[in-house]
Amino acid sequence: MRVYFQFERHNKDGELIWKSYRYRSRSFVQAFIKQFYVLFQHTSNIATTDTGGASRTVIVGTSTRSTPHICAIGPGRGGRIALSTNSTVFTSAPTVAITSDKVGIVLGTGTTAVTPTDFQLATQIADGTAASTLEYFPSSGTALTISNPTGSFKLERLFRNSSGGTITVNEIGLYTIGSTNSIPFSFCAIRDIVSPGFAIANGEYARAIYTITVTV
Amino acid sequence: MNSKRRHNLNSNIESKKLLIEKQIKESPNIIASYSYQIRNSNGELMKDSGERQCHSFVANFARLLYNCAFFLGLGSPVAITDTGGTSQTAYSNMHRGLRTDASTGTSTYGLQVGTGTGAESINNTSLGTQIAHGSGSGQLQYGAMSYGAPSTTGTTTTFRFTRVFTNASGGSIGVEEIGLVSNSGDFSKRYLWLRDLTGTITVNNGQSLTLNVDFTTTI
Repeated sequence: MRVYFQFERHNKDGELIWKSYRYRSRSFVQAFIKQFYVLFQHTSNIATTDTGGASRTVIVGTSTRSTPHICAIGPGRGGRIALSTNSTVFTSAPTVAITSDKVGIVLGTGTTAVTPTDFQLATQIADGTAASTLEYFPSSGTALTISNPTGSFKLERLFRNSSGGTITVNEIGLYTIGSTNSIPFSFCAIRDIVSPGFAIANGEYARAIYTITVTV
Repeated sequence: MNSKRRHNLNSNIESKKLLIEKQIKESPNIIASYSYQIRNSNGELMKDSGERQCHSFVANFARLLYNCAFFLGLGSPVAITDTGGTSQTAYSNMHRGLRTDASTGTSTYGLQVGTGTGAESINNTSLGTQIAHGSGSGQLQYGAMSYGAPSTTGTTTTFRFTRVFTNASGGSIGVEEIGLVSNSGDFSKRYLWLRDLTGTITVNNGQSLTLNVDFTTTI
């Protein structure tokens, strides 16, 4: 399984002004592997560190919680993803809410080398319009295509710089919601260094794309 | 800029693009590999294959990741073909989409072995010819699935699937292919998401085959 990432910058009118190389993502970190493991073995729970640095128990399915997952859908600016307590149903009356910058593709300014135990970006850029923040659009998946010998799909998110200044992106990650007891928590699945970093000027948009590919 | 300098600049850019693309192609993020051991009836090791790289995540793996793991197909899942050849379109037939925890004697999911030799294809949805569970001619007894929890050494993290197959058929059996199949949904639909040809693995009567599949990621 291979994962790539790529960026685009668009001006305030939405016109493409820059497109990066397609980079190989290097860095599934421990939290993803542990969640992946739970999906497969479906027998025993496993302790995993969430994006806040706390140890959480990722659980297997039960009679009331039958869908272990690594949810990568993220809400947009100021939004919250709504989940019921069993983490399986999106509801209009959430008992738990995950904010926009805690799930989906996230960006940061940190340059610290990636390690397997990383549980968050080194310096995440928060969702907002204040200085040094970016507006997070919804994060979702698209374009599942199968063409022998390859199958792939994309995870994408758009960001807008409304901060009044230029922001340089040096790291990218994927945060997901894991299956935990009663309350869903956010986990870091992937963290990659973007080298060289790239600047997003005030008023510009950045589009970040992870492509996940399997090949025979 | 003259045309020769422009040509050289363009060549350099193309070379860099090709190098990056080459690096991308050569370096999977998650590698699946397998190994096997043959033991006699006393448990003595007769053969250890060493680690061999799997080549063949099939399309269903991408579909299950998309629909179930990353939750992108909750509202409108992409269709997945089960091991019986039926296209499944309802999410209720996919959730818990990657569980492989088959018990002793359950051969419909978990690690499977077969005698098929047809080339791997991204569109494979079942083994070519699965070896059935049992002690009759041409059959192997399927043990329970077991797992090795994720462990990290340096920059590498690995976990393991294991299953033991015992030959009580009275004759030798040649395993040619292996697969990983999940058991999903409310109505136990099964989906193949990894299939690899192994070359002939001979399991004589009374011997057991321990098959391990490792998932490994290195930063």
